[in-house]
Amino acid sequence: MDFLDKINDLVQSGLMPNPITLIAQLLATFIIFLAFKHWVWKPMNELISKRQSVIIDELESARQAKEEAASLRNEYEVNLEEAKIEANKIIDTAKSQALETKEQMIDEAEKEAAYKLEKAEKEIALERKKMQEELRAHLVDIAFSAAEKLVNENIDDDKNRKLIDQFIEEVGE
Amino acid sequence: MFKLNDEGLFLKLGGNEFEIVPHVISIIVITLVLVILAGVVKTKIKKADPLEKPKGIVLLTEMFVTGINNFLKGIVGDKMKGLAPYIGFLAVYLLIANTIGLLGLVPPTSNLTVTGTLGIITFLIIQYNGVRFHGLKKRIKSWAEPFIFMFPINVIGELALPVSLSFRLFGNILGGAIIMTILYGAIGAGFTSLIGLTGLNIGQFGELFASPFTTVFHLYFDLFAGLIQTFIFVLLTTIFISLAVE
Repeated sequence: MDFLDKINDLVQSGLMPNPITLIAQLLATFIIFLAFKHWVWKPMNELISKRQSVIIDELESARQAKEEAASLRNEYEVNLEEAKIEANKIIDTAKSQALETKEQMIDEAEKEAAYKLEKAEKEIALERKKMQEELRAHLVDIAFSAAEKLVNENIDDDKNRKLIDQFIEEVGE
Repeated sequence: MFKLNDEGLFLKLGGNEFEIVPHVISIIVITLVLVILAGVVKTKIKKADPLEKPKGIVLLTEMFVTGINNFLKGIVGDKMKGLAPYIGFLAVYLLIANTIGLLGLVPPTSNLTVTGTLGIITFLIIQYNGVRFHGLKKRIKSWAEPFIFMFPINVIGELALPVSLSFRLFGNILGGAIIMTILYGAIGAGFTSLIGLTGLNIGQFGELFASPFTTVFHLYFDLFAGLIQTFIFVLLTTIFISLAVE
């Protein structure tokens, strides 16, 4: 049979030790091993370690950035707190100052008002006095003139006499 | 120097004639392919940006390299990092060698000299590293454990290792090839006689009709057995090395 010959060939060529095959396999092993070692493993391991170092660097810088951000935030928070306190202080001072100023102003205004009132009263009193005096002088004049007239005409009249008395009495006050 | 006749291809050196079996052709083809592939991979990796996502052949290579590295690390530990290219070579070479029958070439691993060479290389690596990590004295002493009369048995066990490695691979691949040949021959003969009933004699061409029926067997004997045997060879090599350096 034909395929039995083929099987015979297969077994014969496969089973017989052959120095050419041995050398070929040794060389193949050696060559492929070296090719794999220098062309595949070395550059690939370099690539991987390069990537690893890049990733580690990135992680490190990210960590640093995070730390910096945290400390900055802390600083800002402290600053903000301080600013708030400062602002409150300023507002408080302003308020108290304003209050003080207000009270002062009210005080002054009251004082001035009182002064002006006093002054006005004084003036009024003075004026009154003056007017009273003027009036008295005037009345005296009138009284004199009236007296003159009465003297000249009917001084005996009881009614008039009474009037003059009253008049003088009033003026005399 | 070279002589081609009915018996096959021969190399004449001095007064001796050496047969160049077809397996050698397969070895040369696989070697060329792998070396060219390694060269391509090298230039691609050199061009690759380590920050970019790897893609294509670089991605495949990275998966392969890290896979082999982790495989070796998981079994042997960190001691034998330099061995990774050899394990990678075994994995790729054996995978192609075992399944190249699908492309019509003779699988090199169906040759005992080929598998024997690989077994002996593995054996030498095991012994070299065993001595390197434990010293010659301790290594020889360990064969006398637990009793001194166990020494010959242990030595035979040690020597049996490359033999078992190479015969297992050789036998599996050759057996598959033989079964495939028988299948083609039997199914072909069947078709020849079937068509012979009509009065036509197609002779050997009956084998052409066998292909639809043999596909599933190719899947099993060439692809599946090839994969399994590759895995077994690589795994056993790694385990024996780890046992030697432990």
